[in-house]
Amino acid sequence: MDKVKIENKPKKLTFNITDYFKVIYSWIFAFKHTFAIEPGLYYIGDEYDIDAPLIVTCNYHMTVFRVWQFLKSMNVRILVIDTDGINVWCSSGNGKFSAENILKFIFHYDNYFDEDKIEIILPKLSLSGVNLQKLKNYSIDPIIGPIYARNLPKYLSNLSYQDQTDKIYRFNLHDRLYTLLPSLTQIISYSFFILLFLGGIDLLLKTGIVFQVLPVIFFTTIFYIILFPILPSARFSIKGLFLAGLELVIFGILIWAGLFQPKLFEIIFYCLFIISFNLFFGLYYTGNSGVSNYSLVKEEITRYLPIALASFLLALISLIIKGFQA
Amino acid sequence: MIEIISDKCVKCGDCVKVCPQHVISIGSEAAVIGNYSDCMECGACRLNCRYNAIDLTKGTGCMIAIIKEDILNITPKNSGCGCGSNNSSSCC
Repeated sequence: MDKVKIENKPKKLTFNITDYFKVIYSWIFAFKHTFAIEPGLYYIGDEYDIDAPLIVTCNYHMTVFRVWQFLKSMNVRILVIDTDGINVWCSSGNGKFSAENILKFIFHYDNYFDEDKIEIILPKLSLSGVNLQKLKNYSIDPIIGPIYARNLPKYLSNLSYQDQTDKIYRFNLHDRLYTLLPSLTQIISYSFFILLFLGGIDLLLKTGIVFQVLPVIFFTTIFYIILFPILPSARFSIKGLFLAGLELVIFGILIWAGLFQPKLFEIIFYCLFIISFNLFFGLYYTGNSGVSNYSLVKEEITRYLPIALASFLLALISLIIKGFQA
Repeated sequence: MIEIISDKCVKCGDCVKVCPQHVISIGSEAAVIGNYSDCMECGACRLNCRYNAIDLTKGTGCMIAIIKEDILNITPKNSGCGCGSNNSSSCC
């Protein structure tokens, strides 16, 4: 195998307390840092059982951990293929989770499989990288398994494994809430640059506006993710514009109620910043969502990213004018 | 974009089986695309079509990946955004 050293014998899959911390860390920094599991053939149960169901998965630590968590009381085999520590969906997209890679591992552990029949259960989201026919050409019987690890116990409890053709990736609230914390982590790192800009202008022109944008950033991040399916349009940036509309209404109410008394260019700054950030967040969230479409996102980028950047620039200009007025 | 090449489609249903969004169904003449906006353009249907009856632009539906791959051309096509990869500089 290239670079990665693979054990020659199946190993019992076990996790300890540090793995729980690794999972939490991987969740918080899901889009930045991850941990990988050593690829190879593993088993859960007392000993390696050649008749136990064989599940194929990536070597992203959190994925293998989740699979183990759901199946730890069952007798199963898990073939962890080398995907550079990337999850199933992303690694199948970039071609790492592929039929060729699965075959390499199956050949490596040739002696540990039934000669007559190798039945493997694949995660449904791996099929953008796995050509089922290529596996069949080597007398391997690939079965389209569930999308989610949590559905594995029920799926495996039926001894005749059926293709999960009717299962759809829905990106429901549970899925979206999973992306909330890592999205916040990422947005906070982006916000640092925004604050740097605003801080620099404040230092020069005493605008008094730096951290006041943080409520907009947090509100947008949290409510865009929660309200995602309710926000009109299938386009991510248009959803952002609708949320911006809601935020502008709230902003207007705050001014009307006298809770906030900004000057004209301050109002212009906040309005433009809200529009700019919401558009940007919509586009940013395409990568975290799992339901985005390449062609449509590409079209959205060319149409709305320049508007987001122009709005941000105009917002900064408004702030500079406010600074000069002061 | 995704398109079914009707002349080549034999209605075997493989594309329907592998689609994670149920975007494809079998029509009277050939497979048909339902709601295109639900299609993630993941390429599972094209990869698993034995008759090359699906034309699809596969790509990563992620702003960062598109900027890197298509606009700045600093990473190869379909390499993804690099999210979480221990071997890449990662996207964000």
